[in-house]
Amino acid sequence: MLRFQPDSWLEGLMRPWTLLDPSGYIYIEALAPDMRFAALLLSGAVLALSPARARLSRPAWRTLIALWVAFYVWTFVIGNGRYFVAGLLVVGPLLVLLVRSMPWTTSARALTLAGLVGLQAMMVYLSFMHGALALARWTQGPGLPIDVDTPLRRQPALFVTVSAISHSALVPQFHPASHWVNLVGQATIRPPMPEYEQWRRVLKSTLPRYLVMYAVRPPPKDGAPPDAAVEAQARVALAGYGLARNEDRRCEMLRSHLQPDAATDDTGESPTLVYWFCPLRGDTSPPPPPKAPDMTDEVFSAVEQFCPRYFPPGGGQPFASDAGVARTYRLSDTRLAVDTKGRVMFQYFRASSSTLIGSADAVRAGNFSFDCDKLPGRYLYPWQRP
Amino acid sequence: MTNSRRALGLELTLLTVVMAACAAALPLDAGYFGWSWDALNHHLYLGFMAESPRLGRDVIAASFQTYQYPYLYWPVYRLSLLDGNGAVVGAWWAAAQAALLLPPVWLLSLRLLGATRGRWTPAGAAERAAACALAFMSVVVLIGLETTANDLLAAVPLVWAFAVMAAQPSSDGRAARAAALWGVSAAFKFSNAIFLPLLFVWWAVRDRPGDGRQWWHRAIAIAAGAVVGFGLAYLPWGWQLWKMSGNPFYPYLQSVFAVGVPGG
Repeated sequence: MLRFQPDSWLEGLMRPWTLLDPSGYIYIEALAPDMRFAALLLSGAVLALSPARARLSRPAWRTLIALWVAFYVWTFVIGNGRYFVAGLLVVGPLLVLLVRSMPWTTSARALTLAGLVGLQAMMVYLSFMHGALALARWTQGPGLPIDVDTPLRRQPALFVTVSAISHSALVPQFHPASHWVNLVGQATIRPPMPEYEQWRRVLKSTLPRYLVMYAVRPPPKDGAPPDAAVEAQARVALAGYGLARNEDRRCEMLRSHLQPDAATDDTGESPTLVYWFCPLRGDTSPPPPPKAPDMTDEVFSAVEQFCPRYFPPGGGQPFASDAGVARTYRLSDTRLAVDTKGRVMFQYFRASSSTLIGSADAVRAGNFSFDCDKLPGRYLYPWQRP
Repeated sequence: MTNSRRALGLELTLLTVVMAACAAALPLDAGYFGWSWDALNHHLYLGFMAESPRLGRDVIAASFQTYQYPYLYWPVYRLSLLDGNGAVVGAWWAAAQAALLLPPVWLLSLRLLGATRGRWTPAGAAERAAACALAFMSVVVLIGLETTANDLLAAVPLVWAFAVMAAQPSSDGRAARAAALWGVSAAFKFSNAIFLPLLFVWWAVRDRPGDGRQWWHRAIAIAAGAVVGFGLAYLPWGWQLWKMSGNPFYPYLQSVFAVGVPGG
């Protein structure tokens, strides 16, 4: 995942300073400015140039060197702040140590330390937001999503989800002999993945089968059918596996008592997290063999060869719709698409719109170019922003 | 116990309680315990898997996160079974995480900043309190305290490793213990393997400049500590993955291990 990796060596080396930037998606999705590493760098430089450096013990040097080595390995390898928690903690004592070792008066050192603590506290106070990553809130009741009893929860069954978020939090609330499969989601189960064989075996069981869908929407009436858009997407996903909704039987709707972290709609009603369990029918015959490569494969391949950093060859998950065909590259947060008019475009997930590369014919012929070092939507220094 | 040791113990207890109380205030202030995308996708499921293995029954029910080390999610799963006020449950969870993280941060502060001639002084205590406060003053850490990710718990052994190696003298035994703690943290969360260069730093930066005696003793101690720490912590989960697929690191390193079929 290169979401938080710097786009150049210089950008990586500048990371202690870019952490000061009160913008999101630098080293975590949320706004999380942090001045401690810049302060550590500055105070370390000042100390290294003064005779006071002799005040630092060998263990102190060892810890300091270890932190900076870890910092830059982390920056260039992954850059995700959640994977650097130890470093984010260790920097605190080290910063106090360096300030205390400065060749200044006691008052000056105490004032500097108080200033740093105050500044960092202010940055955290102004940036921190409760539930920055929360999708649902547990306020009252059980912590798991469903608090209603239903026969569905007491009988073994095969449950299939086809959404990026698997909602596997439901699993403990259903019969332990059930099977749960996230057939299409962040990953798509298909040959030759070992999971595909396991899926084929599970499919041979005689247990009743259900498609599990969810939506966040205003409170629906009991027994309301699934959202049309959600169902249409699931229908496409299931078709590739020889499965379909059993239209003779109704879906069972279960409301979650967890509160979605979503704004109220125009009617003023709070949205609700709703699950539908829809009976499935289908045979166990293998799906049709994958179709032979077509012309769009050559288009995708050309872009992948040109910019493997953002479009790793073979790393895209194909997707087709009425608008055209696309590949989603989960590890680089990018999407490459060819629309029905033959236009080739890409989009980094933080960009507000797609970037046109050219026509499919031009791309196939290699007549195209774009800045593969800095896609629109990637981090820019404050002075580079429009 | 000397007065200084008693004072240091009291200081640690007080700081731990204060930090735990501050952490508990986060969910209480929010009024809820937040379930993130990852919590609904795999945290709660993995916690369930920690006590009820389902590798042969489900098929990537939580996508490929199904294969992550599940045991650090077990406490959160257990908490999710409670029927009550989510904010209060979240407060206990945040407090517990803070209480686990603060002691190694404090010990690191004590060893780096030192106690004046081994005596407890108010100025020294103030410095250590500032160090601990600065350590926790991170939006990333605060987010970790009020969510269910295992990032903070997985970091605990690693911060202990820093604290161990901040002691003087840095004996081979200490180096082995620190490396073992790194190994445990890497087993808890593979991303902590990025701290691997620490082992080299701990080997290379000696207590006395030019002290090259028995460098290979230290190298063996660190290597053995890392392998034992990682191996022991990872064994329960690696064993299950190996039984399922023939690869204890599945789905990684498939080219190294025999490719097996999950559930086969």
